[in-house]
Amino acid sequence: MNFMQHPLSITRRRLLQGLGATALSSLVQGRTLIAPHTAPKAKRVIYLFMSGGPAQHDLFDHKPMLQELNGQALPDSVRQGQRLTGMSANQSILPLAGSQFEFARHGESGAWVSELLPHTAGVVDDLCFVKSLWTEAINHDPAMTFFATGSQIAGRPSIGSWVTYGLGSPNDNLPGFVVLVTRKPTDQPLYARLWGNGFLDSRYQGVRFSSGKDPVFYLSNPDGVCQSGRRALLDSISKLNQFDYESEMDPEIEARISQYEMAYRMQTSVPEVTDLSDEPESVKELYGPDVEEPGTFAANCLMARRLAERGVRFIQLYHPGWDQHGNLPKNLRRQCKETDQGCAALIKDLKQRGLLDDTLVIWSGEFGRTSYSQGTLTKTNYGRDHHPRCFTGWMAGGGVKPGFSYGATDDYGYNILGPDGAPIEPSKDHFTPGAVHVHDLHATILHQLGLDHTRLTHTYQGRRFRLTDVHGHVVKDLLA
Amino acid sequence: MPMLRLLVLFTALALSARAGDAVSYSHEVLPLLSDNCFLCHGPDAGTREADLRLDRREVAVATGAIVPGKPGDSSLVARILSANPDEQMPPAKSHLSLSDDEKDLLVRWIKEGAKYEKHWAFVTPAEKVPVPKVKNDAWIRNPIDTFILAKLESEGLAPAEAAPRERWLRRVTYDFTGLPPTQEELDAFLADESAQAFEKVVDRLLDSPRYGERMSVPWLDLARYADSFGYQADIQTDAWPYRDWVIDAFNRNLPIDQFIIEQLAGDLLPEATRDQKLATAFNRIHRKTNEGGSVPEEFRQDGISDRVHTVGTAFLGLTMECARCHDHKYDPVTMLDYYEMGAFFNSIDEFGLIQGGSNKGVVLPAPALKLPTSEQETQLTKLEAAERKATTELESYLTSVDAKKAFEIWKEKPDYPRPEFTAHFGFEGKNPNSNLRGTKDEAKYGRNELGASPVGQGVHTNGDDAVGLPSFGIEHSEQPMSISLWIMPAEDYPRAVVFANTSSFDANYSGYELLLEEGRLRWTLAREFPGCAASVATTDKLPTGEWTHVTVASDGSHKAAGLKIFLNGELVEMKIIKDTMTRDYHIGNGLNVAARGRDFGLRGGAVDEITVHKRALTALEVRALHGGVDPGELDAGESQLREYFYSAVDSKARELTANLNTSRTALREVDDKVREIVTMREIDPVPHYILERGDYTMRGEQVKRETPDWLPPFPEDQPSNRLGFARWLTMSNHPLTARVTINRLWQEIFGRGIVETSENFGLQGSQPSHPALLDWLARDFITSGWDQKRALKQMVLSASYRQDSRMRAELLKRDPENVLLARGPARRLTAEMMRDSALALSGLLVDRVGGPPTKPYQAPGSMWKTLNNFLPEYKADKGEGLYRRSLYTFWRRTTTPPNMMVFDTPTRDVCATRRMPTNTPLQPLVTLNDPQYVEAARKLGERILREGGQSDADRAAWAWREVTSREVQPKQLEVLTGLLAEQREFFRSGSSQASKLLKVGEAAADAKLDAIELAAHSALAQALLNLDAHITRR
Repeated sequence: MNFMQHPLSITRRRLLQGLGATALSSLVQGRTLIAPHTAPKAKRVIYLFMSGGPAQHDLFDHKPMLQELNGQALPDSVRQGQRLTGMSANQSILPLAGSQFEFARHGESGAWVSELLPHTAGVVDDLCFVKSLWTEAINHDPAMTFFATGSQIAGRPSIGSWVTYGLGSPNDNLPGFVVLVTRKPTDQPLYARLWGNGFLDSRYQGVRFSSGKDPVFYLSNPDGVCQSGRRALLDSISKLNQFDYESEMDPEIEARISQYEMAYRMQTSVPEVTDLSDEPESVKELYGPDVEEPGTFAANCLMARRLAERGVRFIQLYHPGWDQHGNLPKNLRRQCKETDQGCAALIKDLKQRGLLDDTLVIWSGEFGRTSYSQGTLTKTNYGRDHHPRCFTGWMAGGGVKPGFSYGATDDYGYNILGPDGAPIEPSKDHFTPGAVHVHDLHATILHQLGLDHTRLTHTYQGRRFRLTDVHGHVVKDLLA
Repeated sequence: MPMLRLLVLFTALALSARAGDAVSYSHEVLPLLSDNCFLCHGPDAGTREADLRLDRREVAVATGAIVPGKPGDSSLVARILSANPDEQMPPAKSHLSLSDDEKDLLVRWIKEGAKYEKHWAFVTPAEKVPVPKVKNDAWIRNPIDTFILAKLESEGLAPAEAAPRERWLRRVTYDFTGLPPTQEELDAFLADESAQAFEKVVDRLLDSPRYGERMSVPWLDLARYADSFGYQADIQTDAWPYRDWVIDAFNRNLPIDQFIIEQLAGDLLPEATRDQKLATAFNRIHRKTNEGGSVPEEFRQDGISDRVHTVGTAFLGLTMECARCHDHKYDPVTMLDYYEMGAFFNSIDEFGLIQGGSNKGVVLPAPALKLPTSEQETQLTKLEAAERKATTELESYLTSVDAKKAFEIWKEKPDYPRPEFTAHFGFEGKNPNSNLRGTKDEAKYGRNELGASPVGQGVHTNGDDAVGLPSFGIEHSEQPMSISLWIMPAEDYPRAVVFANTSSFDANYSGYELLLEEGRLRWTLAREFPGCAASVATTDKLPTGEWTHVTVASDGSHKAAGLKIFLNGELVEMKIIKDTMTRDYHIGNGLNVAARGRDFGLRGGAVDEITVHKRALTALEVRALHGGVDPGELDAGESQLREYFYSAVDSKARELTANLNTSRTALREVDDKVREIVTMREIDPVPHYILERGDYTMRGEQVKRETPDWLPPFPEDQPSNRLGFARWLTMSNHPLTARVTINRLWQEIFGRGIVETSENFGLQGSQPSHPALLDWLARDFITSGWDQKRALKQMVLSASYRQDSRMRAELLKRDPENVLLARGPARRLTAEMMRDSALALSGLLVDRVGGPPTKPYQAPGSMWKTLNNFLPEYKADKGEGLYRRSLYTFWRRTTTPPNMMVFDTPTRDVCATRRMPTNTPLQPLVTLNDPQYVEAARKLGERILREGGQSDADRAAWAWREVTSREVQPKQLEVLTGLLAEQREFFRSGSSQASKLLKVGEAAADAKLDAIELAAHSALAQALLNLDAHITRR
């Protein structure tokens, strides 16, 4: 029995007319399961979502000219009237802010990484940088919703839901789509809709594993109930349900019986996967001291690897706190310290287990940050506002080019450059070489999983919805 | 394609055609064309290929795509039959394809003359829908059954036997109340041999207040009702009075046409009651944001769009949202239709964003309706009378002989005090930031610099840093005040802050402010602009590059008429910008001069000589301030002198003024506590435009208020506003509203709409399983006065509903989804029913109707602050709040209760008309381990021990019947008693621990009962609550 895809029609979605009961077993909610459209390069995804919008100019997108022009106004010729948020739009000057951090080239690929990310710098030859991500939203909520669901409008299925809807999950005892959120006070909120199933049915909802007593809500037996007592209770429930199945002949009852069994198995399989105590010291060292504390990013990275090993299809980590409107030098350092070693460890760990080849790892925020300072720029302090027009993310494993960097931005770090080195105005309506729109990233992720983003559809409100709306192009240049 | 091959194919297809039945364009052909062709050859010109549109017969024929009667000559046929990938339609890249049967159908249709018809749902149902003839008349209980049976007979299927009485009672009780029947109700019904037995039950259930609660849940899904605003900080809002209005409307059986009219336009009804205005919250409880930096217009347009989408889905069954950025790809909805509908819903005084910061959850986005309690209402009436009295007393004194005498006496030997003079910052000398009025307050300049001014030294402002001053105790809008300063703007700023004491941020400020807008001064008091504000502006521009002395005053009436602007000592001409202020404002941390956070300031300008008075200064005093002299030094005319005297000198007038102010404060203090709710409140029509690609920055042509021309015309005698629109929707010849509504009711009762896509009656919606029945029901509904209780009663008294729901082998093969209704409906309980049923059986359910949302148990770390640091920690209620019905559970849109989401509740972000029931392992984890369910099982265990008899067998049998409404069978009894014995042993041996189990949840265990026995019976209860026999309505 499979967690995500009980073969008997679990929902009452309309079946094709005249379809016999025998055909039911090949259906998931009235729809043939989408076999991969093409040979998959990746079997699963680990998406490291850096919520708040990491400052690319202080991490990866090295812009020496910003340091030279530090404090000077962003030229209108660069901005070209592009919209700003209400947080900095009314400043009397938009002063360019050079990064206060040292940059150096790393690895054989010579990728630029700032001093804030020493561990990431150590694995750059496994990473595929995209310096030219861009999005349309300029505020957190719509922008995160866009990254998570392919639409700024609430109510659409999240990417993990789409993937499990398309491919199911190979693990019988774990959810196909697991979400891990770093436990820390956050400035920008997360929303259940970011892993919601939208108009797909709720089997495809991401299941958030928490770092509390119950990794999955309501996993533990109630106080005072022993496991054999629970087993006995379930046996009785099962018998009684079986009697009713015999008289009602409703496949739903049979399905229910197996879901109760599945729930029972999850009571073992979930604690097993979330208990990190059996990891050898050498592995824990890789992830750093934070790994000992449940709910840290490092601990979640290690748990992500364990979930990946067990075949969980889509694992999404959320690490909030990247919204440095002010006090960037101090706060960004803290953010990086919380995440850097975990990211690098995850790559190394997956690699040493041979899992990196078929696991696609993605690191990104919902937008980038401005190259000018929001608020006062001083010698030691500055902040950066939201910038959707260009930002950096990286991918690794899962059939993308290692040690590679794609796309470039102008010397101001403000606009994406086209292949000829001139700033371009990318469009989502057609593929713009050099630029990677959210839809393009989604199309590429699906492609690596063997899914054609134009064919992974679900009809709702009379329309065949896609993760990529009517846009998106697979960015072939990123693929190995 | 070679002609020969085409002919062969064509012949083969033609031969396979069923003889006899003419092809139905509306029900068979149009859905095919729509789904496979319209994306490129349909209504949207933007994506149309080859200038061919197949949704219009004249174009299809003119282009040769269709040659009526001659499929062989029709290029459409050649293309769909072609095997050549370059010619084949639909093309490979569309990932669409036609089956042979579908191709055959199109061929036959062309052969039969290619008749076009209007899409069935856009055609008004016939006045009289004929009831079909059936063979098995005896089965018929009411007209519904004839339609169901006619279809079954045509399919060669027989209906099921009637369900056992217990089963029907259980089904209808959940369907109408969301709760199980009690054993007493069951016994009474089983004993009732009268012909009206069934009807009596139905009437009893419809009369129960539980009915309104049950029927509200799907409506609240559709109205995207929630207790928070849904974006980012997701702040709480008191929307629940609307929820209670809905419950009440269903319970009093408000006719549905009226139900629709009041929600869309209750405020526009003649003599609208408070409840009718409250109903319009329907169009305002969509999501709203206060995220920093958001653009108000973007979100104002989003709100209007949400109204259009929700109205489209809820009443028209149309996917209006498709036409926001382009013409609809399938339905005839154009962008013009979309924005013309939006024009009905755009004309309220709203800002677009909600306030955050310290105002979050306190200041609701206007327009809002105050909802004083009756006690508050009494207080307010009294206090308003007191304010009027104080006003009259002052006015009559000012015209009295005494007052005149006092003035005359004073004039003989005048003195010129300067009362209520609170602050004066001159920026001179050794301590340029000190208040010359002697207090310790100091001005802070930030990076602004001191520099020359016409009166010594002033502050040269950079536009980013404010000159920061305290609030000087001016905290409420009823406090009279004046502020004056010298100002030198450097340019005609599009917008610049002169001074402000405001809370919140991002242009949605609350408090008082003086702005420069395109050179004109605007003086504003606002709880929220524009919907709750008093604001005036000068008609002339302020000169740039030179100094002007500005004084503004407010008399505490928070009316525009009480606001004054003086330039260089003279009152100037003003225009009223807004006069909508009905409640107090919320100031910020102090008076900011020349700039404020996230706003434009006086870049390159300068200010000087800032004074603050806690009184509305008179013209004479303003002149004096301007001249830098005492009022006594000026040559004042009689009238200025008199005005000055009563305001600044005369003790009687000042005492009466103080009384007036006190009365206003008293009024405000009560008003502060009055709850409000977001509603619609119409203003003059606001211009509305097509937005190209749906982008708020790309205004196209201006649109009028119109309804789509392919639906019945807007009634001429109706106003062109929301009220007219609502009446248009509920006209008896409207093809959609009644059908869409009755279909959703059918869906609630039979589990599946006659049109399964209850959200979409357009071309891409599913075909009605019983089109004539839908029309008959719609007509019947309209004729009966949109009587919901009557409509539901008719459904559940039908033989169709009464059928047993057992699956038959034949049906599992032919109709597993029960589309044809050859058996009764069977469905899992909804999330709400699941929890409510357990609470009801436990005896814990508190059945009070309505009120603020409740916070029952939630898993630690599952809610609120864990995900969203803007939110407080989730703290479960104590007592009653744990046991109220689930529709009262606090619904925070961004962090929804996981124990309800696993049972398929929508997030309430957007309108939803149906839920898709699933069956997952997360569900048993909730019903077995959630303290709510464990506690309920414990309390049901107590009931079993107390009420179920003495022996294990008696108790097990009683409990079984209590939970399942069925008589227990021996084999079931054996399992149940075995379970009891087994669990007793687990608890007795200490393997399971009774004392711990009995502490789960807040309700204390009955100490009189033996703990081991109680624990064992709790386990029995838990098993029963988890049975399919409990969680499925069969």
